[in-house]
Amino acid sequence: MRKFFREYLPAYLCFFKTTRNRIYVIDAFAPLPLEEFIPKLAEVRRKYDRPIFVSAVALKPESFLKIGRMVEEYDLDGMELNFSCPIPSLLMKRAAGGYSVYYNTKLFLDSVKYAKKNNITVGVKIPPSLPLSLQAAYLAVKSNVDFITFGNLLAFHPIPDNDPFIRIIPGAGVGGSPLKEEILASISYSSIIVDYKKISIMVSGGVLSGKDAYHYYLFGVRAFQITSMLALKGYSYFPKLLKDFNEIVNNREDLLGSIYKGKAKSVESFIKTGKKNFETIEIKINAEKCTGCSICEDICPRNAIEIRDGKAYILDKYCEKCMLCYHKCPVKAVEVNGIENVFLNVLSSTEEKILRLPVFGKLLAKIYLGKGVE
Amino acid sequence: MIVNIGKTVLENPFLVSSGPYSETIRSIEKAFKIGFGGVVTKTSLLKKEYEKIFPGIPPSIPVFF
Repeated sequence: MRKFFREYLPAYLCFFKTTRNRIYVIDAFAPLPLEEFIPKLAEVRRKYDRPIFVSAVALKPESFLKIGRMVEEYDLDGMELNFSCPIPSLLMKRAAGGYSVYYNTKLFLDSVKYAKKNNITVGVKIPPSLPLSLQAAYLAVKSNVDFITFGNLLAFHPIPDNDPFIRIIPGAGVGGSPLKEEILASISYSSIIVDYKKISIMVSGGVLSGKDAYHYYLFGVRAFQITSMLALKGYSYFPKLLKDFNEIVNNREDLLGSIYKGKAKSVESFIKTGKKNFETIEIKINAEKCTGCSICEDICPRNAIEIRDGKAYILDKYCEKCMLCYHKCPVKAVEVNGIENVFLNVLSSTEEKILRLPVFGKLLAKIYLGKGVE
Repeated sequence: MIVNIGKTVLENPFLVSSGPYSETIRSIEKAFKIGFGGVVTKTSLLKKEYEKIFPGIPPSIPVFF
């Protein structure tokens, strides 16, 4: 049995099985080596003139650099360092993919540094669990990656029982674990920081419809990676998804009332997480920018915003810092301070978890996090 | 809606994520034909490191999904 898992299972690239209307996807790891894969990708890139990003794992920063140079040489669009892949054989060899950037801090930081130095577009895919995702996002933002992908997410609203849905096998590239709603906190807060830095945020997983994409969009996500939807609904659903998403984005008002009027479960859990760790944040409305459009008042799940004399005003007593107003404000009048402390708070509250890490990684992380990478 | 990732401009914000649908050239072509804004390829690695991590296991690519 062990032999099966260790040797044969990875040899299957993917394997679909439908039982009782549920689709199981096994997406184990046995790719075509990049030396062979990249030239083929380059042909498709040229033929269709659509971007291709190369997702990669490696044992050494030098290997990532080599991959990055190949990506550039073949005119592909960038390299995604996969630090979200939970495959045990990678973990044991201490390659990227050890489910946490944190676990491989030095590999991550050096790889990004090398890539940036050589002008290679580089992003990082980070794992879906808290606090790991916050830690990873922090490191990623600090080291100025070009994009961050929150990886291995599942749909963040409950899928009805009678719906066929995708079961994730551990180690599957389609999604590592059921998405905890708090992950939105991580996404939301990261996207606030990266706003100032021109880092793009993507999500991978959990987008089964245009509406799902819009959920993420509300939290600052600007691109969506899709697999589950394809396994569930097929390629033919994609045009509808795209159309739905564009329509929702163009008529924002439609969803304002229905989703976020204090009803959404995701926002509730999000706020719960926020309360514990996110007290240091200050939110202010810039009265010069505010047009008094009342979108923020309408959307606030805690009714913590009032319009006074044509300007929005935040009632600190009720505000739980969920940041919806920040993400929704059309003129960017909501100003946020102290976000970085959130990351540090989460880090110190998980000190004991960090203690499990190898000594060198821990030390390094502390040095970097203490002084900042910039 | 047009999106920027790094130096790249995406026609629409939807990509095929790294996984079974971005593993083969055939599936990537199909995604482009149906209108995806981009593709993130199935995670892979250099040949030398592949042999270290999966000794003796040949890489294989299925043609159909």
